[in-house]
Amino acid sequence: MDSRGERGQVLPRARGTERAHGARPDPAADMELLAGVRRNELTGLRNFVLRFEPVLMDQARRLGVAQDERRTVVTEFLDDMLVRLAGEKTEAPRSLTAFVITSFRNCVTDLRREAAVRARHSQSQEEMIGTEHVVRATCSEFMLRSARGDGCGDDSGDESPSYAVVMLARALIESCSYDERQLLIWSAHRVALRDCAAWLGLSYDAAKQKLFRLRVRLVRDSVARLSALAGPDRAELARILRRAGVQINNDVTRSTA
Amino acid sequence: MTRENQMPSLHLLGIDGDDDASSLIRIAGDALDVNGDCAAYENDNFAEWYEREVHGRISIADRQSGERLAQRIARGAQARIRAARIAASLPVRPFRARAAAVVGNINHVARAASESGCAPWVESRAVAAGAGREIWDEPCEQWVELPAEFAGGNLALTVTGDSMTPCLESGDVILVNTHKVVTRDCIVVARRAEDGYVVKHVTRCGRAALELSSFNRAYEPFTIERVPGAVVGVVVAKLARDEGVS
Repeated sequence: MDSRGERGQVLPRARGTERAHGARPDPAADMELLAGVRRNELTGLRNFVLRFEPVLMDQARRLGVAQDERRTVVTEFLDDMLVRLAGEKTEAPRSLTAFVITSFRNCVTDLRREAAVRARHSQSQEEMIGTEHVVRATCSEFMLRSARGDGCGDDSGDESPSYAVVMLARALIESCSYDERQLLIWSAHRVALRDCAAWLGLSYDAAKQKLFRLRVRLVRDSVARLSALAGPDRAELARILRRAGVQINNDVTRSTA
Repeated sequence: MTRENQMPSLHLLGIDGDDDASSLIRIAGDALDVNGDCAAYENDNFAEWYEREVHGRISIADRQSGERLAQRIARGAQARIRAARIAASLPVRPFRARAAAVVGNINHVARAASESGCAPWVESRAVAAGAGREIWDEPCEQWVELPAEFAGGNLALTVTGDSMTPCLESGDVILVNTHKVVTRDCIVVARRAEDGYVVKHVTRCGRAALELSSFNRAYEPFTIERVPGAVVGVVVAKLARDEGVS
């Protein structure tokens, strides 16, 4: 974790708020839950599912998995995760929650990649023999959209960003540091800045400054990206930036391009 | 650089103020989130904050349906974990076949094979997950050499079908001990009226009946009566044809 100040000095770790540190789940409870899973007790397994199923369903929604596929994706993941945890002889993860969530996110990313490969393969087959039904049969709508990269949300009014924003995210991943990406996602979750500061090991003022600089860069990058785009993608990103309150006019676009 | 020094350039870039910029930050954060970025969730504090936040907004109806789902997933996982453990505990020994010193059906060659430190090997489709004639009447032309720890009363059979995957795959050779006592959680070769000989996992072991299950969830469990000849024996090892044997 990067918690260095402006001149590279390591800043003292902030104590954080009660909300950030005071109400953390008991690590012993994690250990007990894991022990129950490893003993293959029905109660332990059930409690694990009860604890993580809602979290993973929410994650599936955030990751843009189609509504009718969320339950299947989560159920299969939980089933595999339980078998994996029960079989592992290694030490328990430091945070069971973080471990389960990141594993799930990686699992969905892998599914997307597989779907993309399948879709590409089917597309080439389709071009050769004109069989669109092959693509339809082997890939779900979510996987097809993911593979094409044209937005990942379903049509049920979710908050999933559009294609232009997904493209912006891919650019951000390259330009932002690990801490900055954390800060962006925490802000999207509306985490209080005081908590963000504590989790990053920064003082409140340092975190505020970091966020402020990030905002500036984000606006600059977004506008620059806008000027590099053309056609519907440009219009889409411009709409999003306007919605976010960024005043876009030709002068601004030209000056930042 | 202070915040005040930064503000004019922000205006030049065409941003109204903090709230709007925050909105852009949230959009970017959402975009990273949907793109599968794990950075935020690798932080233990945030992961736990997020978990509490999600649990805080579960409705009673969702909680009730979650209970039912949890029970179902837990039962399925329990069976798979048990299967994985049994599969892991099944010893794997090298497969060494040789021509039978005495040719005949199993019934006739079993003793001779045992005395030579071997077990008769039946490769016909009639066993394991297939249907067919009495196993003891199968012709046997090959034996397998027995590892030192397995005494007499053994029979080597070839598995067909996918009902016991991932523990046993089609084509695997198993060593079945005909003297071993059947207990819960062991793997047995049994005779089923409609399917012939099957290799299954014992999930319930009563005095009068046995409940046999497959590791592959696509197959339903069933019950057989504990009558003489119903169970051929208990699977004691898997004989691996490859070199890499644990």
